Amino acid sequence: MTDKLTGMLLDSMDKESRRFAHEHQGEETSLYERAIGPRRRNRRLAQAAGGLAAAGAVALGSYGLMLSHDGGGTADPVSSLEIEQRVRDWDPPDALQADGSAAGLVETWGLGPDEAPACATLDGLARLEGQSGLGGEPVAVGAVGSGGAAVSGVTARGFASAEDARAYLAEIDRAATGCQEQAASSGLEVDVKDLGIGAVPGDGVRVDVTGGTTDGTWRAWVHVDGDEALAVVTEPGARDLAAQIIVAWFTAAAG
Amino acid sequence: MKAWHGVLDTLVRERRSRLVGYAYLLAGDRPTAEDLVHDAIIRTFSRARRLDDVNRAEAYVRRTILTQFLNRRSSQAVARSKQHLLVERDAAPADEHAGEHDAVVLALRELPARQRACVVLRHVEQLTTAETAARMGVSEGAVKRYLHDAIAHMRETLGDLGFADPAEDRVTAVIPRRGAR
Repeated sequence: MTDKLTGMLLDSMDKESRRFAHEHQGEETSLYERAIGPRRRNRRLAQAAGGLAAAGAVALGSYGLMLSHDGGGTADPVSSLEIEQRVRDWDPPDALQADGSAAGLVETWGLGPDEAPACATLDGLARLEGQSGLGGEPVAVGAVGSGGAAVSGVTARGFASAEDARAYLAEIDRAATGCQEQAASSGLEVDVKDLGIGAVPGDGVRVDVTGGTTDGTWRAWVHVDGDEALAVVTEPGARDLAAQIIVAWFTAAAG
Repeated sequence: MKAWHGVLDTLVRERRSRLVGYAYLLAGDRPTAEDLVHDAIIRTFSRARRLDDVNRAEAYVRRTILTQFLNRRSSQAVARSKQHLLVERDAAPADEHAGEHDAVVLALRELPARQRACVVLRHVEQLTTAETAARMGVSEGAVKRYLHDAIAHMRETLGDLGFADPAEDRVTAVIPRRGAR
């Protein structure tokens, strides 16, 4: 959009930028490094402490087995700690019920266990469950929504690597394709799309399920950025906040 | 030297002044704009793990500036208390009142923070309504209302702004990568 207002704003921004550049011609990077270096070190120390705590939990058997898919190492506990921190720090686009969750695909559509096993698998993957060989554990962030209406359930997971996170997306893709075939006999339509969001880096898969006896769309949107994934399950009738939730989560990761 | 050092150096040398200009439109005054940028750079580089690209780093810093601006976390008092950590000013302190002759900045300053942010995201960052809503964590309807009210007010102050519908959509926020099946 080019218009008079845009031109005026860009002109003001440009003038202010030039004014600042003129006044700050010296080397100032080292001043930032002095402020940032200790913070990064403290953060790494805190993460290392968290890693030790997580390792202890693994030894006690309460944290589950987290082997990488080649069986040669443990999953990345650092991501899990950062996720726990972010659960406290992020700014969701609507009220967050910390102990809330969204209804799953099988529950929403009343599918029998043998009727569509791929849909049951998809249900779990939409909560970032399973595939333990890819590292990490699902962390329930809560349900976003207000007024007692349908909600969006949010789950985060740090995988062992970016490659593992992408492999998980591929699993969702595969399960959704299977679900598409198996649920057709129940009158359900399953639509799978690979989607990115302009405001944040990374890739995602969105699965929309409609039809049958339930009005509205059940939506699962899993977005990964590097080794981190966020899944948003939106119940039929809920306000569609999935993209906003994903942006808010990964923006909090950056700032 | 780790990757973030190089990215930080490039960002400070080549992008920081542009970020200050961006923050100036949001904040409406120089000290707050500079504090927003300093704080955002430190927050971004202290927290983010993957900072191997200056464009990505700049995008993160911009988002942090906006978040900090909207959350009112960067009050001048708080930011100034940190200033000794950040910048040794060779030049005289920025003139808080300089630039106030700039009509468009004056008009922006009269708007509530969210309206101001909408104007900057739509007309400077050139985001769509959907992208603006996602960036601000509000609904598209709210963005359209903010823009409508903001543009109406700015028209009163600045006169004709050269376009008809400030809430017009361009494209959707989501980007198909491999298409639908």
